[in-house]
Amino acid sequence: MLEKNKKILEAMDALDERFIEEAEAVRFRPRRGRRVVALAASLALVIGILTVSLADFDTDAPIPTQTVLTDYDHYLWDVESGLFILLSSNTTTTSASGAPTSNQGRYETECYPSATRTENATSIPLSHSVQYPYIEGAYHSYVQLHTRTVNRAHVGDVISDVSMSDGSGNTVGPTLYAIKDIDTACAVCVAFSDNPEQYRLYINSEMSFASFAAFKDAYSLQEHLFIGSNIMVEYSHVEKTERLYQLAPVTDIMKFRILQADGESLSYEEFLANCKSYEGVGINASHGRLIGMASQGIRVFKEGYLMTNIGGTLRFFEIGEESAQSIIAAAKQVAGEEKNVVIYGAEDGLFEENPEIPETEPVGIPEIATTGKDLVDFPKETTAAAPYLPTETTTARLPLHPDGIVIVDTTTELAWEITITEPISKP
Amino acid sequence: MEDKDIIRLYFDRAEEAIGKTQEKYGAYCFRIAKNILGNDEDAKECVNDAYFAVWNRIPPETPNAFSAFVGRIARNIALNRFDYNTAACRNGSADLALDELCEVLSDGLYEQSFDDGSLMCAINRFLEGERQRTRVIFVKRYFYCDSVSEIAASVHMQEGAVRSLLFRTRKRLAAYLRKQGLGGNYVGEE
Repeated sequence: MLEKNKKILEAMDALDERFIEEAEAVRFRPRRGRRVVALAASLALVIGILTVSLADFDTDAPIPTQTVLTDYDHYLWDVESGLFILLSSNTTTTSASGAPTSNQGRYETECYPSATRTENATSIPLSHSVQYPYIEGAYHSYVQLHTRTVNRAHVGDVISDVSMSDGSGNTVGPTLYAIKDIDTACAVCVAFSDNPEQYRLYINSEMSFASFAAFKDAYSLQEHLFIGSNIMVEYSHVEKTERLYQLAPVTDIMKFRILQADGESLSYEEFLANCKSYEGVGINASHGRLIGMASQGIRVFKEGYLMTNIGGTLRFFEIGEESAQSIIAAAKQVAGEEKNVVIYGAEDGLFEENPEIPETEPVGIPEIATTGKDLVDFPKETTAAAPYLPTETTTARLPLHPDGIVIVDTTTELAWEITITEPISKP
Repeated sequence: MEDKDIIRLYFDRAEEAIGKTQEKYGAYCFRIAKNILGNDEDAKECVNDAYFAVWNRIPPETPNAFSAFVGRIARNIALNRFDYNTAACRNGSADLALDELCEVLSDGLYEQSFDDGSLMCAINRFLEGERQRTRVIFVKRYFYCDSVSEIAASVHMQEGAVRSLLFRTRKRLAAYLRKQGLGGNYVGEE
């Protein structure tokens, strides 16, 4: 045994005896089920979990001063087993400024409490990155992902000294850097003089992508796509293109898991014809609205189906019984505390056929805009008599990629990652 | 038999105290010793020595957590037995586990923080703030030196999930230690 290891081994003797005893005494419940075989279908098969990090944004930010346990355990989707695995929860910490931070694993984010910004803004000193968020000059269209920083290992060459403004004519002069493996036309990072070791991420809000795949490639996205709640993807139904842009900073942090899906999906009526049981869970997608139901973004049925309206149209996917029940079990763990998770049963009568339900019209997704930009209003629900047919750019909180499913996590602690094995084939 | 009753046997100098300890914690001590020593024979000898050591320490000591008390004794005996000077080879589970923990600890503050106990104080505080499952897995890995597969089986998780959890925990520990001014290396990719 190496000398260093020996020293560690000896030092660990000072481990708190409560922990030593606990490790032996505590028993955990066994998980149900094991592997879910991912079935390959001739019809387009959905890719599994897409894991992404925006250039691995581990921050060198100042260390938090206080650690607070979160309320929920952290569930992570295990690709091999096709089940949710209970891991440790994320630890919410507070930054030196008093703002809570959240460690999401591969990178760290910092979110600002509403009290900080609206009630006690003057009591907490703001960093330059917050005070002067706007790039002047050639990169003026770039917006700050204020909840993300770039690991210095990924910081590229200096581009220039830039001028950053507060929008009122006041400026400071930080340094602009490229990011390794990311085109500067897509994103850059900025180091401010008051915190030169922290590289703030800026994304070109005017960048357009012909497809979600192109979007992922441009930002070197790998699997899971994390987008802060202050980022929106603007989708043009006419041009079939997406744009990424930044909202004003908001207090909620939402994690998006985007899964690409190909192939066809069933209509609502077709699904009803096939679904014999109604036990499931609903996960609020923050203003998503399913046809014939209360505001829901995702509905998972124990028979192995997932239904969602995220993406602009109602879709159904077969995810397998084990996967579905794993999601349901995980959701039930927090259903009592997490208002955005609702448990449904047959008594709710939500599956009664409604003759007014349109077959193919997309469901508009209401959104909350905080940028001050003019946004297109679209109806919150559609009917056969008044279908919603967007004729111009529609802006929403959620990505509207026609081939994607967005799983929205409205807390910083839940991780909803769903592997779709194959779409439901039409009967 | 309850731990408090076993401890009372020690105080009464009843020889069945050792038998009861063996009955309840024999396998536990054996596992600890074997994780460090790597073979059954040495581990068995250590366990027997541990029983003798417990007998000699109670009384006057009155452990609050008897299992931890016994486990520590077995562990220390195993450590003392191991011949580090001639052990050119690694002994598997313990070395692998401690290599992982080594990643977290800064070389610069290594000696001092261990010698004055500040590092372990910090680690204890860190674990205090962790979720139970995380803490249990951490202790199983780095105190008991259980293998990942053993841990996964005991907590009913996939091995990959255990590894991920340990990696994230080490990363948080590193950040925590940096905050405490005790170093803490940046943990690399999984």
